[in-house]
Amino acid sequence: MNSGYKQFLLLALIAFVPAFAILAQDTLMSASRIQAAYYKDQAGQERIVAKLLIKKERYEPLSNTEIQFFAVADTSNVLLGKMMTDDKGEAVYILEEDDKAYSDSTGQIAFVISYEGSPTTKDASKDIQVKAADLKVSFFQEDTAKFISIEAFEKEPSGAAMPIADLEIGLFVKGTFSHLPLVKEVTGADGKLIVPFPVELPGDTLGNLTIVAKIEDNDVYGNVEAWGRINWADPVELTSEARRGLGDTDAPLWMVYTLIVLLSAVWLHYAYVIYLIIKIKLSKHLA
Amino acid sequence: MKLDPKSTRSLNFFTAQMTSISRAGIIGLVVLGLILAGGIYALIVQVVDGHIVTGMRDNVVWGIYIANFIFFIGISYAGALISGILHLLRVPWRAPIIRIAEMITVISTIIGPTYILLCMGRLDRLHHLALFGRIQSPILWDVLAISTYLMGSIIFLYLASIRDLSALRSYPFKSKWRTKLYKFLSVDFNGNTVQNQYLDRALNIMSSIIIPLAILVHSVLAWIFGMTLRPGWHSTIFAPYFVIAAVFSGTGVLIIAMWVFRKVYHLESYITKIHFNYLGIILMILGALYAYFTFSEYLTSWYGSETWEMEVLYKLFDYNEYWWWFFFAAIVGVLLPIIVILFPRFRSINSITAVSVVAVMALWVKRYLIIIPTLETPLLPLQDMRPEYIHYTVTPIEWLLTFAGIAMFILLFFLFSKFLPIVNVVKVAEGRSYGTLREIVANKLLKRQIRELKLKEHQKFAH
Amino acid sequence: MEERENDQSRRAFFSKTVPAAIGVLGLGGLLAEACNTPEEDEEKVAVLTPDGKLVHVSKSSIGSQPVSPKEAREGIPGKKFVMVIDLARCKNARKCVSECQKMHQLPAEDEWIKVFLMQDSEDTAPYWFPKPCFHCNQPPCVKVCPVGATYKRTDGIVLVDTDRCIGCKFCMTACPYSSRVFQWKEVPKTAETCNTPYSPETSTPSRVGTVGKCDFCPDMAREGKLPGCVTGCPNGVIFFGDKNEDIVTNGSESFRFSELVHDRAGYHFMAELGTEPNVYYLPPVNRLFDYEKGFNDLTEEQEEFYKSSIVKKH
Repeated sequence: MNSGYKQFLLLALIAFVPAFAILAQDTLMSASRIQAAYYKDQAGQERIVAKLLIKKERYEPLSNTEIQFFAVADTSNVLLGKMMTDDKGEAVYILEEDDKAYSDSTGQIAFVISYEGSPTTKDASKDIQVKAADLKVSFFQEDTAKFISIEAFEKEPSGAAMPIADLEIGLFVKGTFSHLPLVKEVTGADGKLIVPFPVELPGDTLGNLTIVAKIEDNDVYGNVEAWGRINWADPVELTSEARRGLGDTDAPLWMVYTLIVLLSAVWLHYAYVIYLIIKIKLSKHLA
Repeated sequence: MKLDPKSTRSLNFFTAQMTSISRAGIIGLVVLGLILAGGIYALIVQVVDGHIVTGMRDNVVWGIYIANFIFFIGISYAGALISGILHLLRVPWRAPIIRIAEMITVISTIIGPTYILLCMGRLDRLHHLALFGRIQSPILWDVLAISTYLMGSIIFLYLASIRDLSALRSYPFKSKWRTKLYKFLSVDFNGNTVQNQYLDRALNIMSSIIIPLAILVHSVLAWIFGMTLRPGWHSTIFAPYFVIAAVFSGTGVLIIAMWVFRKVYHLESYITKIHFNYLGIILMILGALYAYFTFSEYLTSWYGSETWEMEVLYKLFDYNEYWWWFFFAAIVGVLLPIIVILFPRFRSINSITAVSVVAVMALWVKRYLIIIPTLETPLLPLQDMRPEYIHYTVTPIEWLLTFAGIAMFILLFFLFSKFLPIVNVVKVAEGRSYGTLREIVANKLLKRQIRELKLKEHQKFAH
Repeated sequence: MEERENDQSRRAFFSKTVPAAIGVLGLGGLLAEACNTPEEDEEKVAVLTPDGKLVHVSKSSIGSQPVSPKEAREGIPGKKFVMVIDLARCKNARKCVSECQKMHQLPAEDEWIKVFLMQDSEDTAPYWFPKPCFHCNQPPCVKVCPVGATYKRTDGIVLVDTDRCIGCKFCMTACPYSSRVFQWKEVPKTAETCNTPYSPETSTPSRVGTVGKCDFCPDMAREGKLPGCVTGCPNGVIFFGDKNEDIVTNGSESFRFSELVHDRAGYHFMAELGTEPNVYYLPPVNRLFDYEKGFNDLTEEQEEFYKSSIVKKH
């Protein structure tokens, strides 16, 4: 009787161990998270940027890991591509023409970005839906007043362009390293936005300025960017050519002349003295 | 060149010493050789391991090497200024000491710049100075000035030795190469009128040129420091201050060299108490001038309230830092020579030499105190936990190379003295036959009277 | 006849062996300079071109063609780089220091940007003060370099050409802000430094016996990227930009440079020295953090050290 009870206990314990192991493994695995966004740049290139984060103490980027990009089709998810994350945990997938075929009747495409997970990390995925939008930046002048005009429209599945109303657009000036914010305004019913051109802004040497219009983090349209270039800014002067100065390659002329005069004064005397020594040798026979 | 019997006896006295070496001399050579060997070892270590073996770090980037450089260029003033000025003023007692002075100039101008080479990070790029040199840089001024100065002092030493060289070429030396060398170098000088004229003209030119040249050289060296935005360096009187300190130290080294050679070569009849007295008085006057400059510099710094100037002063006056060195260099090293030489009862050959030793050492410490405390107190104070990045300490490698430089100095002097008589024999002979200044003038007047008489006689005969 | 034949054979012998010997010597020289590092895998990375296009390129091709030392003397045309440091935000995180060291492969003891604990007077609170090279418009270091190894470009950047530097350290004594660092010992080579030709714009690798300093990362600026210290700072303390465009950014916020400096009373550090720096400081008013927060990641000993050596300057 006792031995049977002991055997049962032992079996139960043995059965529990793998259960414990599985449970333990589940709680020991690190949580992970994916952030994803859709971008369309001013050249028309569309891409999805995904960032993979893994929880250590806080959420940190996970590099050198594969992320898969899917498009949601009617029946299943179609694998569009696999990309490796870089040092910052980001992976970029550039959308190709064929990928747009997975749009639904409203013109919206759904993407799933997923991470398979690893023995120590949980899997993660993110869904995003995106509708393609276009921005156009143009400029016009009324008398002396200058204006920027932005138009936002989306393409229907039929191919017609429909203006987007009540859309918040940010306007920036393009700089070498970043975009300088100007204003944030909403399009009117006709999908247009007119803003006075900012005066007293410096441009390049020819007075060119690039205005950037952006749809930022929109739930429907993602991120869209468009540029417009115009010659209305104050031109900037290029630095003049090499000067002569204390901090330049060439010394100030007065310094050059002083040095030449001083050095030649001394060395010419040396030359004369050497000449005298030669004369001494030559005049050994004189009285 | 023909010499009178007394001069010939002098010459024989010197040639005997030039061709022999005493036992003490050999021991001395061995010691110097050992020190030099230590220096070569230190040099190899520094070249292979990099400058990390020195005490220099990002704050004190110029250390004892640069202090040595300034010191050696400073003592070069012995020949340039003392010998040059004495020659221009035709001071009669200068004859026995001018060769020592000129040798000091040449040797120290050779050794000084080698310390810069030791301090440079990339010696393999030395030619960049010629290819890419920027004349706006005080270092390039220094390179041009010192090479010009070295050339000038070599020419000056050579010109002042031609008469002795021509006397030596007819001396029956045992080794043939000596006679050949003297024959070549004396350019067939035989004392005839025309040659004398040329030589005197050349000597006048060189002694006139070498004085402003020496002043310019040391001013340029001072401007390397004076042109930077550093407290303790950016001072308007740095150039004259360096020049005065240099003449002061140069005179001191000259006195020491005179004493050493007098003892080693038994020159008691040539270098007398008069020389020590006169040079001692020059040392005292220069010491007073140097004290005046030092006092002016530090009083002005202290009186104004600028924090960055006070930082350097506090460092110099801090008992835990540089106070005792400052006390020695700026107070003891200056007052002691003045007091001893001021009172005739304290003056003797040995006492004057002793205070010269103190003065020279004080000036070496002063050069160290000019460079290192200022570099340790930059305008933006340091915040570094590494002690070697806060305080500069001289490493054994640097000490080895410093002593090797001093040993090289003594060795080169020794070699020069075996090649040229340490006293200007012909000049001394002339001086003896001319006598004092009064006699020289009387002699000249007499000569003129004789010429006029001869002319009258000639005219009488003609008619 | 026989003699001529001998001559021919002798000539042939020399014409073959001498070039071979020279070749071997030359190769030997090259081998001595070469680095023994394994080949990198052809990894692809996404890169944003200056026109704003995104392309995928192999990792090894990025940064493999930095500008030659001769071209590096010309500045990036039309630019005037300027930096603004917001002292109200600095918390001594020292990420600027570590990013710079990572980017330029510097050992931990070489800091091209330093962070000081500074106090203007006894009555004011201390603050953290990051100090890169100021790239002055009247640089005292450029004036004194005897060989022109350090020079000022038209875009305002002061660079050091360690191909030309003779290691005299005059520039280090001339700089009143102690911005320069000297390589006192041999720097170990990495795979990256072996495969990339030297350029003053990357300032890597550091050469023994030469001077190095902050270079405002002009190789990054050519690609429209911000210097490492700017992007590394977690609090956005350092702003960088082009004075000609009048825009500065810290990676996330952009301002008009003239407005920022005007409204926030930007000043030059030790302006009376007349060096005309290109780095502006915004006074530590309305601070984000109390300065004591800067000791959070430090040991007791380090905290003691900072407190005892506070820099009293303005």
